[in-house]
Amino acid sequence: MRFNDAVFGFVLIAFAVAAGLATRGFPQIPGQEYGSALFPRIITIGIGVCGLLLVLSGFRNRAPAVDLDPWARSAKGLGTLGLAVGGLVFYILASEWLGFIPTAFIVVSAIMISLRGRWLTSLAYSFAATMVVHKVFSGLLLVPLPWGLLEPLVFGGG
Amino acid sequence: MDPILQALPLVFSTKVMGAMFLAALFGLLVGSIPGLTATMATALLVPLTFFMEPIPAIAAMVTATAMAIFAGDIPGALLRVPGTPASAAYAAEAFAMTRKGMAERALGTSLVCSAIGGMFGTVVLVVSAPQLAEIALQFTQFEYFWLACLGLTCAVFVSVSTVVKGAVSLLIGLWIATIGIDISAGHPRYTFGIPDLLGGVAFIPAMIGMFAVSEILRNVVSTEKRQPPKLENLFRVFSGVGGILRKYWRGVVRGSVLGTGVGILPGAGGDIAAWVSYALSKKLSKEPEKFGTGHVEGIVDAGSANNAALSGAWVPALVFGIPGDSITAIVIGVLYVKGMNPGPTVFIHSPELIYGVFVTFFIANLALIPLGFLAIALARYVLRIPPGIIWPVVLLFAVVGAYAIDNSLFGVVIMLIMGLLAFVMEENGFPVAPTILGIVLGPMLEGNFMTAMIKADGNLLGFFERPIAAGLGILTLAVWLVPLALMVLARLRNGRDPARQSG
Repeated sequence: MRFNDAVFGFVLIAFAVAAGLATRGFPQIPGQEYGSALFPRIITIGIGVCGLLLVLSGFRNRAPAVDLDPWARSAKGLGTLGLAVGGLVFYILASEWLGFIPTAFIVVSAIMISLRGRWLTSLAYSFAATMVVHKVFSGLLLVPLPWGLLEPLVFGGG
Repeated sequence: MDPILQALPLVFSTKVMGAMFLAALFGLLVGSIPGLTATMATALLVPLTFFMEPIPAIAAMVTATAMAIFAGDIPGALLRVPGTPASAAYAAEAFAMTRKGMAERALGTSLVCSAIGGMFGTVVLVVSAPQLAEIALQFTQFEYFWLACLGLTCAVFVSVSTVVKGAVSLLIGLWIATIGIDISAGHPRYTFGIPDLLGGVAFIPAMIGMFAVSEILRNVVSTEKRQPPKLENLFRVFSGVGGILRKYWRGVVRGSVLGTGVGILPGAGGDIAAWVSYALSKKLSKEPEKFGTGHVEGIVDAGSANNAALSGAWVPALVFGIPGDSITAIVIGVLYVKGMNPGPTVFIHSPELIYGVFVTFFIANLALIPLGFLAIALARYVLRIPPGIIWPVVLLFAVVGAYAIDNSLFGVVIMLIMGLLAFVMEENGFPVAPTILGIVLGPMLEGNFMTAMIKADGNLLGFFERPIAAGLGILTLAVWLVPLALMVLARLRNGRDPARQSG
């Protein structure tokens, strides 16, 4: 999905103005000329100037505002992108409560089925991958991946 | 005791050797799967190496990247799909050789040249780094400020895209680096009241997002269908390579020197080194018309160059703490997260660490020959793994890796945001490497500036009072101002030339 440079230019200018205004609340160091606002200000000014240059070059190019790549026009490409991003959001929201193994299995198998189409082997591969990752990180590296709903099953009654 | 002798037992332990062997297999696998890059291999390795001691951790990353950069040539030659961007420059050439039935020769040449290039870069690193560190020890905040400026400027100029887009990418990285408690006044900047942001944007999840998640997104949406390849076993890899090396030894030298040089420049890594040296090889060749038709000469140059660049990038990284490419940027960032301070003082306080890193470089590049051979021989099996299985599993690794560093879901949030940002940026021609350099060097830039200004009592001229600082400062200003002046001059001249005004 290619946007015209001018689109980025406007977004960057808006961002620079917002981030630049926010630096007004940043305090000085007592007795010093330069405070915590200096660097953010220089950076946001730089972003604003680059935004302006992009707006100029964007209008000069006369390219359409948005140029859709083949994938962005196909329902399947957009669907997979949505599924991958949605899967990550779902993981962030659900993994503590649902537990790592069920959440990871749902996310991985959903994406794999949408990419390959074969239900049975995809479910099998996803389950294997989930268990291996769980074993490596939880078992070997002692990362406390959440058990969630499985907790009573693993640690009994609880 | 001699630090080199001290370093040897540190490296030749079962732990380090085991870590290097596993990392080598991982690197070969990642490199030979199209779409998985050497940078991504590093990004995915970080959560695993984070829990190790410095030597095995760095050894694992050095080995994995050296292997991955070579292994990228395998699908390049067999399928015309480069496994990593560093192989893109000559994938078409190598594939043309495969079509002539010379796949083994193409891969054998690039394997041996990769090892030679990597060795050459390593020798340059070993010889120059300690000398440069002697000089760097006398540097104060003034010099480091200018060095960081030079490094960041370089990253913008050498990026493949336009200068404005490179600058935007860098500034975004620098801005991200300002998030969190400010180092001089202790004021929270841009934290939006989120306590997780007080310590800044967590580096490792950010980098996994930028280099792994964005690649995964790009690959899953890709509509290109790859036919599963029909491949033969490739065993006679080394026959004829000796003759090629004798004939094109100049190419090996040229590629190695050029690659190491490009690697040392901040922001430019193996991919740019390969493009530049392939182009130079064609320009200097006696038979440039053969390039593109399955001619081995360009592969000799570029195959040496990309591995040489990998080692070269470690020169500024080890000496000044200024990364030479995105891989060393990740390593430096991780060292900071671990509370280590990369730079010349490491040469004084723990020289055995530095020599340990040197030794791992030699081992990694030597091991490249047998392990690379293994990878070529097994390529037909690896290349048959359907992408539909690879991407979701890699995504799972990325999620767990981002979570594992702080055991916090906020890491996954940062990973997702940075992944989407990098995806949109790359789709629109904004390079990502300057952003990661900005994130790593931003605190160094600001910290040195603030300390220097407290020392000089706010006098900006302090940045030009010491001789080396003045030299670096003038160089930096020249790099900024000369292209600008040339642009203005060119425009003025165009304005006077009526013939050009219509355009």
